[in-house]
Amino acid sequence: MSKISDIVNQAREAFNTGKTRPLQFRIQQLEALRRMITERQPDITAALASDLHKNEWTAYNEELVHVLEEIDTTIKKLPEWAEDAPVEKTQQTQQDESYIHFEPLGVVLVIGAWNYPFNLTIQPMVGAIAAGNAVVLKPSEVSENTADLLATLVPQYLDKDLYPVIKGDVPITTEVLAQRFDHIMYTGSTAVGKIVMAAAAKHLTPVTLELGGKSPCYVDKDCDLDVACRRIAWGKFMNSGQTCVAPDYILCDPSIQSQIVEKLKKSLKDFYGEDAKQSRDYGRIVNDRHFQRVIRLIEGQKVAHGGTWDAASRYIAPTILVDVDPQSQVMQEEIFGPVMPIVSVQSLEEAIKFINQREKPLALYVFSNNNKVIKKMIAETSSGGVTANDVIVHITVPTLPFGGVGNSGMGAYHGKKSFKTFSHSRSCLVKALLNERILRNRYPPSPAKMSQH
Amino acid sequence: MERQVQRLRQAFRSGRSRPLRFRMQQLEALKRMVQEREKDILSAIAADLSKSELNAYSHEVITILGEIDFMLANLPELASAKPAKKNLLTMLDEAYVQPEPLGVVLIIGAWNYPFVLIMQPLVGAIAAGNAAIVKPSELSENTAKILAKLLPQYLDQDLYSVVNGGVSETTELLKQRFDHILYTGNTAVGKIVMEAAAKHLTPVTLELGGKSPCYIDRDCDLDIACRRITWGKYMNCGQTCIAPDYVLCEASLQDRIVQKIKETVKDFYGENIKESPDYERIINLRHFKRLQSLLEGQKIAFGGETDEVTRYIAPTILTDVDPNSKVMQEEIFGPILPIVSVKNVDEAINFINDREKPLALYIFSHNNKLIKRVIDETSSGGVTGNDVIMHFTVNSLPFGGVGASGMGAYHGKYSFDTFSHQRPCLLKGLKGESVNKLRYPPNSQSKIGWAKFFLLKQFSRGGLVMLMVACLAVAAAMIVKEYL
Repeated sequence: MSKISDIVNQAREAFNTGKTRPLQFRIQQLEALRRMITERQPDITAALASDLHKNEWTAYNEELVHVLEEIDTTIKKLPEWAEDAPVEKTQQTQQDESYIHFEPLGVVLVIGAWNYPFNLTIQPMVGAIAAGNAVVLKPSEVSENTADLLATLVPQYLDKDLYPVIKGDVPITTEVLAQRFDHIMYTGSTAVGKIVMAAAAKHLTPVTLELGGKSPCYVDKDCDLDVACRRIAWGKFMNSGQTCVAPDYILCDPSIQSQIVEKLKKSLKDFYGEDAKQSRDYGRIVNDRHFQRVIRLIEGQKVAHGGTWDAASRYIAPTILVDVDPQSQVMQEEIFGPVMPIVSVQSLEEAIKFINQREKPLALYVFSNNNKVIKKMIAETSSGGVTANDVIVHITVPTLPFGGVGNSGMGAYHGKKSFKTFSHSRSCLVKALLNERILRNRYPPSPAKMSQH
Repeated sequence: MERQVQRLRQAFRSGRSRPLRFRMQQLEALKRMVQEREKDILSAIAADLSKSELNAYSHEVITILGEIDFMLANLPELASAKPAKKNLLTMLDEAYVQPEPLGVVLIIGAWNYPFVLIMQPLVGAIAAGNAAIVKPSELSENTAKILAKLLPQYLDQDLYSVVNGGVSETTELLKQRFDHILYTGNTAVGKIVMEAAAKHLTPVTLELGGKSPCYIDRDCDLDIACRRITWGKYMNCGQTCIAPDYVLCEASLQDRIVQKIKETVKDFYGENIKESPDYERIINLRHFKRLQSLLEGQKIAFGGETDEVTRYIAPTILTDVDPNSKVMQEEIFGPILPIVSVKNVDEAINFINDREKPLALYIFSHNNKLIKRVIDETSSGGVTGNDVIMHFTVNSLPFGGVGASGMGAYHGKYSFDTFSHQRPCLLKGLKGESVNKLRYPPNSQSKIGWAKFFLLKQFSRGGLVMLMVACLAVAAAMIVKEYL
């Protein structure tokens, strides 16, 4: 197996040949990626099943369909996105061409996460390829089956030199991060995000960090609780809670707490049956470390539903906690598991204050019939993104950029934003060697006195 | 210093800087400051760089006034929510991107254009609704002092603050937590700033430098080209991040280029350059000595005189420069112009690509195709064709570097965006739950087909029948929404 530095150098040399510059080449690679997904769907599903207990339906709906959409949108729009973009001229530059020229950065590193291991490695790659870069993929070693599969499949469909896949755990990732890249895209935890940025600083490499946090979900009294709870249950418990934009916890008035619990319970029964362990659609925790971590969050809490688990299969039942103390452990870290704490607040203002006392989350959710409540919540808080009256779905709209702010990350991608993230927007002013008279004012010698201005 | 940042953060949290009216008032105050205290500002800049007040005005002050006017005129539009195009599933929803302030930003200035490199970012930070700390460069002391004196007299003192000092104060400042840091300066310190920012996951904009190449084609009006290059190279005594650092040209053009630059220097600065009020000085002794050492062993075609007492270095041209010599290893940042021979444009392109991506790139040619080719086959922060510097002045063009020359960009709308968080918002109603049924477990194979249809079709493709059915479903949903 080649040394890491050799692999990265090879990608750089392949990039330097200029073969990724023509749009045709990039589109061909994206079409090949598309074929990889459609032709090898069973293999991909099997890997996701082994890693996270997904089935063909969850694998498709939660991961593959979004990558396919990204590829289709990108192939269609690339000619438009890659065109020079003219800009407004100034008085002095009326005769000149002024535009922004989009160019590849060079060699991009994409570090994937384990919770949507296919999507979070390949979807960023789509934008990086479209922008004309070489792309080094480093899938998460925690979702090993998917990592192994990507290492096998990607070279079968894409240019081997330009798009290498590097597998391995922390020591390998550290060595990869010591290399020089032209952009690093990392999806994962805040702690490792800092390490990635510090490594990038040594080479002045710009970064896009898709991190996490505790995404709050405020449920207003004036709200259709049936619908709200169904949507919340869907987003919370998909992939067994291991979603960076899952509603992490609920904030609501104490008077509706028990109704919320009942309605969540009902939706859970509709989705997963009486015993979620028997449901094909209910996921498992990715590994023992995270399993133990999530179990510990339930300790000492008032369990209104669920609270059972099976270590052998890393199954944790959909769990709802009530009357949760904001100081307790479950409210100190991103849960990333099927445990939903409900914290009481007396009013919208208190909910807003609660949210603002904490780090800016990746997503924020607010459920209300009252548009004013929604607008106030948005105006007086900050977060990566927002969905009102639903969860998760803002990240599925390709025209909305997806990214965090503060501790939840920096930069964004998806759709056109991906193309921009992985490009350099180069300002160009092209003049003619004429009209020298106009410029005379700028040349010394300056007049004896300053004129009135 | 922690307390100072805390104070600003608290003032930010009070929400005072959110209303556009407030931000515009602050910008108007800033404009008054620049106009009312022009004399003080110009004399500070003049003292720091041995610059005439006229040049201080045209190099720095005029840019700020333009930027403030731009923000005042455009702030409502810049701060407004931008609607996003929707797909079939979100057709009935509101989807938009809302710009919001980040919080407390840190702006670290440079010494070469000490006023504008603090003020222009500050204008953007204020416009975007943030609190801000500015840290002027200690090397341009007079400007640092005048900023510390004037800004608190005109701006809200709880939201905007000036910190002065040297390396230890800057290091202390960099330990604090900010929501964005904009740094202008050199590559080495850029890395230190980014490393400090990483500890707090603070996004950064780094305006660094490099060796901005200037390729002169044989098919070119050398008179005009050389006049423009002379202007951009020797302004501020070469201490401009986007000055043409060195010239690349065919050997046959070298002598004529030298001649024409020589003539232009005489037109600009007269026979006795030292006496010209338009010719500046090197900022300090350290840089003066650094520049002197770059001249060692070089073939001086013109200039080369230096005077340590006044830190004067004459406009200088070096010819037949060896690419491996010291003057070609670091950003010159002084009035020394090396000319390196290349056989043709291919060699020039290779030469440029063998080196770090510069902040600016210049090409002089009548042949537009050649200009486009050089742009296509190289990279740099920005480009001006057939002139130098000027892309900086078009504020609809983002100004920033790439690779070793920096990351991020600002000016005009890009300043506003840099200091904002662009927050995507999707607002749905609590109706129309039937459409969502596709996504809920328990799963079934047919659901995949429908999901594919809804997500992948954006009013295009697909069978006509499918489209009609979808339209009927959507119409039904709309009717339901309307009348329920």
